[in-house]
Amino acid sequence: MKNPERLTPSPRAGLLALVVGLALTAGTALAQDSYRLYVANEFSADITVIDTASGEVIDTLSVSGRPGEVRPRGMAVSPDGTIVYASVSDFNPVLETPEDKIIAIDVRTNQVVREFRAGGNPERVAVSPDGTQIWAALEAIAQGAGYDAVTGEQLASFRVGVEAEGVAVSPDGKWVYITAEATHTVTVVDREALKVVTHVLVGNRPRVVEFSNDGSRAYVTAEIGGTVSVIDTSTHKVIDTINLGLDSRPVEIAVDPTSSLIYVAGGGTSAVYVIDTVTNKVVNTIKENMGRRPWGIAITPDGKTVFTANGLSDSVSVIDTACGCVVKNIPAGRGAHSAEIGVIPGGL
Amino acid sequence: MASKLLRGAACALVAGLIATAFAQYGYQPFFDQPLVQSRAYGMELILVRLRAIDQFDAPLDDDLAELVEMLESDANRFIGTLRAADPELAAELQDEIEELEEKVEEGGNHHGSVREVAELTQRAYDLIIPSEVRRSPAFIAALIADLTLGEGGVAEGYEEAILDEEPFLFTGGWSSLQSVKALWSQLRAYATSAQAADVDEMIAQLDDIYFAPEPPEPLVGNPEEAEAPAQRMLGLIEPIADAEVFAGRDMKALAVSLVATQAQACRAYAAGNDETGLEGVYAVGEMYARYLAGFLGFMAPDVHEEAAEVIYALTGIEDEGAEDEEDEDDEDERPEVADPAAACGELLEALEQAVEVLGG
Repeated sequence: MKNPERLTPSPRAGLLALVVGLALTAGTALAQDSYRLYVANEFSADITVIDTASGEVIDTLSVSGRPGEVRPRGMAVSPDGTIVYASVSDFNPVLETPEDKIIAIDVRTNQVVREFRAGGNPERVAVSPDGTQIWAALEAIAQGAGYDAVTGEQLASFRVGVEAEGVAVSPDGKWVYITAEATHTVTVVDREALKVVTHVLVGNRPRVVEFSNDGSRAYVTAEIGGTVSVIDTSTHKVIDTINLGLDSRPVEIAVDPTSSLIYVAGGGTSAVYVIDTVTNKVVNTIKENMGRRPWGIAITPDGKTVFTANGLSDSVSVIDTACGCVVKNIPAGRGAHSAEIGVIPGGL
Repeated sequence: MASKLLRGAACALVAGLIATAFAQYGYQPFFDQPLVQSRAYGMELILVRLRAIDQFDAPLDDDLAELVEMLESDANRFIGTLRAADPELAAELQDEIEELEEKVEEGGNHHGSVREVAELTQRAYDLIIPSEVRRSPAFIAALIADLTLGEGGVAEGYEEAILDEEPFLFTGGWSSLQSVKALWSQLRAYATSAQAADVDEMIAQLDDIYFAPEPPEPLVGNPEEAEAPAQRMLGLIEPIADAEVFAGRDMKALAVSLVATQAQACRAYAAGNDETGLEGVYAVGEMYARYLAGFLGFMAPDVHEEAAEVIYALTGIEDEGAEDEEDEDDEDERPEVADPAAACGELLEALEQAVEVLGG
């Protein structure tokens, strides 16, 4: 879960505490949530579903009968964790085929319950904190667009930098940040006023943007730059640049909902970089037993486990955050690209 | 003019400082020796195109014939320096290129002429790129980057072949890959066995994509299929060569560096040495189109338009966005440049503005 906002837009840590508190107050054995990891496999055109407790693959959802031509990529989860959204697009960005779409997967049943068209090669998606809107980075047409999460109606679209890639909505719902690979920019959209506020130059080939738990900072990976740009969301200015090394090739970011740590998938070095956002320093680099080219990354809502989607080894690495070590590798589909965690409240 | 040149020199100093400050690797060939790299790239391009057309017998397909038409432009990247070193060889090379063009146009057997041009190009290579430079890992790595990321190269050739529906761009990409493999064989000695295995794996993936010189029919699929292994290969090569080959990582530093190169080019024009001046514009244009055009076209379109217009007029180099527009508007004729020295100055001004846009 990269930046989950469960139930309400308020900070997750508080919510978790509230849930735990309610359970203790009631004095009853509240059934625990169970988590499912979703891994979008770019080349096999499917999504691997893994039970995070057992580490077993429990399902493989076909996204298209045309692997190699159609691919799932970025994913996002609804605030309550029960719906996982995945962007689906053609490999050939010039084509305008019905495969350019966003699908909604019910975590409990693993069924696609909704899908709607998102033309222009959607690469990544984000969900607004109230769960009513889906925002997508439309790679082929250099746009960011918002959609009604239920009807799929396009609510707005904006010109952003070339080769739009990453997208995130701030926890307070005010801002949408959209990265663009070719122009090395982040475009800031005021979600309420529905207008572009500014474009921010970040590191070279920005991939993914994620907000901190309190929304005061946004973190942007730069694949070629080998950096994470830290943006102050009150000014929309880069206030720090964390250097991971030119060979690191960072892509997805998982924000720990329980601490000040963020986990960054380093595709170039087959490593996960652990950054303390208080100091903006790398406090650990996890390499041993990692799969090859981790690209996607997600963390469980309890902050205990991190999963990486490894594109070159077609696998998922499981990291125990307590030891900061890889404890297991699980096979995934071909070209594992992105990872997201869905929640079954109260478990199955 | 003098103040501008001073500004250029100051900017160059700043570029050096910036580049040093952020450098992780020991060498930055596109900053350290931009003109040397550009000249060598010109010669590599000629060899790539010759290898591509040599795979086919006459008469050549129109798309392949277009590769031949590019040879003159490729030679412009180094012909001034070659003429200064050996005027006869320069003239001979230009004559042979012209003869090859004529042969291809007439549909005659071109293989003998291909060999002639290749031999002359190799002689030029030996003459104008010192052997110690040619052996250096940083130089080799930068050439691999050029042949991978440049227009029609390993990464782009495949994409352009599919998106532009010009199958023989595939052949250009295939030929670029053969050059990359030859260069990698020189660099391999500097790699650990693990590094070499990783690079070999990426090259094997690229070999699968470019499985033969002939483009597959139909040519469909993921246009960016070659890009991922190509990019990864370059990322692996950087530490092996101890050289930074993505010149656009720090765009401000690159812009400052381009100002310095451009100022040098304009001085050559002012001295009446147009060929040498043009070499500088090619070096600048290539890096501008590859690394700065996207950002400036988005954030400072006026500055970009000015720079892109002059670069295109003088060299024919275009950035990806301009090519896309051209595809939509049909091909524009490349304008004649009445006063190249003045155009050089206009480009210099635009690049200085670019530095300011980038926070310089």
